Amino acid sequence: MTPEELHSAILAAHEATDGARLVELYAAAADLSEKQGDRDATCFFLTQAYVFALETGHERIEELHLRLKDYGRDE
Amino acid sequence: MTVHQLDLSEVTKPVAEARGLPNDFYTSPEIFELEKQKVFFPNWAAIGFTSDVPTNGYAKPMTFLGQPLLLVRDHEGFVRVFQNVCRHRGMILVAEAGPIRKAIRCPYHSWCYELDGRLRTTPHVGGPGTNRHDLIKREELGLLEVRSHVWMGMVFVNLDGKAQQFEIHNAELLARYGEFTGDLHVCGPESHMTIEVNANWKLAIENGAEAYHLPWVHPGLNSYSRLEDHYNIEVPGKFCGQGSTVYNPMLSEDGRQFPDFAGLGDKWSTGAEYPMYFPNVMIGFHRNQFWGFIVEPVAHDRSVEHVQIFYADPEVSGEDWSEMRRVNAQNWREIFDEDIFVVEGMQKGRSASMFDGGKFSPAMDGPTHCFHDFVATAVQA
Repeated sequence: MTPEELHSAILAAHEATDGARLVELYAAAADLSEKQGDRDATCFFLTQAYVFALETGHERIEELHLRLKDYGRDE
Repeated sequence: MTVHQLDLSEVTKPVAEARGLPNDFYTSPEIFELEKQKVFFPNWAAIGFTSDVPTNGYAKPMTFLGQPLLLVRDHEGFVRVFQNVCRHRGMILVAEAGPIRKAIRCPYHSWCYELDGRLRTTPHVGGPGTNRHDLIKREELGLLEVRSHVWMGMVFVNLDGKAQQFEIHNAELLARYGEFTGDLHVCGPESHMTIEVNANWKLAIENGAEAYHLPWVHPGLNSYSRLEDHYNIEVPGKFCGQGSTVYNPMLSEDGRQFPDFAGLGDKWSTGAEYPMYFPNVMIGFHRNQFWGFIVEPVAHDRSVEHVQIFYADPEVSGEDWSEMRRVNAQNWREIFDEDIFVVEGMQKGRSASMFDGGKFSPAMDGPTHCFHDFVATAVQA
């Protein structure tokens, strides 16, 4: 998915209040930013994914939390 | 009006000499506010039922005395009450009752809370992508928990946090009804009722406190449980009400009865009691059913009554019992509905400027006076 496609998909998932989908899309955006070496953008998207994972009880909660901790961005 | 302007000495005299609470206690928004502070906040007031949060991870927002509260059954099944606000900007956290899968997310800036109240994360609080800040101490910013206690399927809160422990404050009540130790079961949607009345909250309690009105307002009830079968209950400052030595409702033509609670003494094989727990609950104790009747004060002249019937055995939720459950709930609903016109009629009557609070019957109105004495004493404390 291109960054533009990802952006559109995220907006659509927000519109649909689809929390589980938001977790996956924000995590994908984080992966993309990570590949580009953009640490701040990576952590921004990881945070977004983590919050929706917490809200939805998503299976990726711990993985996302660990990544943020590894970046020193969460407790 | 301030408490210093209130002369309640006539109310706290012995019942034979006393007058009832003055009209202002029913018609004045200022007195209603005073009662919040003096009667409700320092005591253990009932706000709802454990069945309002039926499953683990369920949360129900509610407003009680103007306080936004959140009734929660956490993921371990423990019932808690929080103020329904985010510690960040005071945003209401939960707008509708429903399941919480993992954490409560504030809809404003997405601070997330566990159902035990712990602040789980604070997204971007230290800047974009940084969810921590040295001055944001999560251990100090959990949800504001309201002191609460569950008893007989009802959830009580002590809003000022200063009351004695529930078990100590209510030692007499718990001792009197300590035999009711079995599980309570909600069986069927008809066992929950919500009744709105255009009357001050106290009038519902006062009406329930006495049996004097039964032959006139509830002639059907009086046909099998006569006025002379009733006795008064008065424990000053704590609870009052009425008991009946006759409880044998005919709910089916074949005489079938709901299963009894285990371990009850002989008193309960034929009797029932209806204590008014101060400040705001009427309770019905019977050998095979229990109900709580919580009076929610909404305004000085408006209240909502929340009723939940519980049974002793989960099998009562089955189809075999559905008709008896329906008849039972309907019978109680008829009684509660019959009371509406007197409660609302007394509310209207309290606009009569020459009414002096009323003259009690020393023989019949002891429980009502006991409640008035509690309120009068509380607002002057």
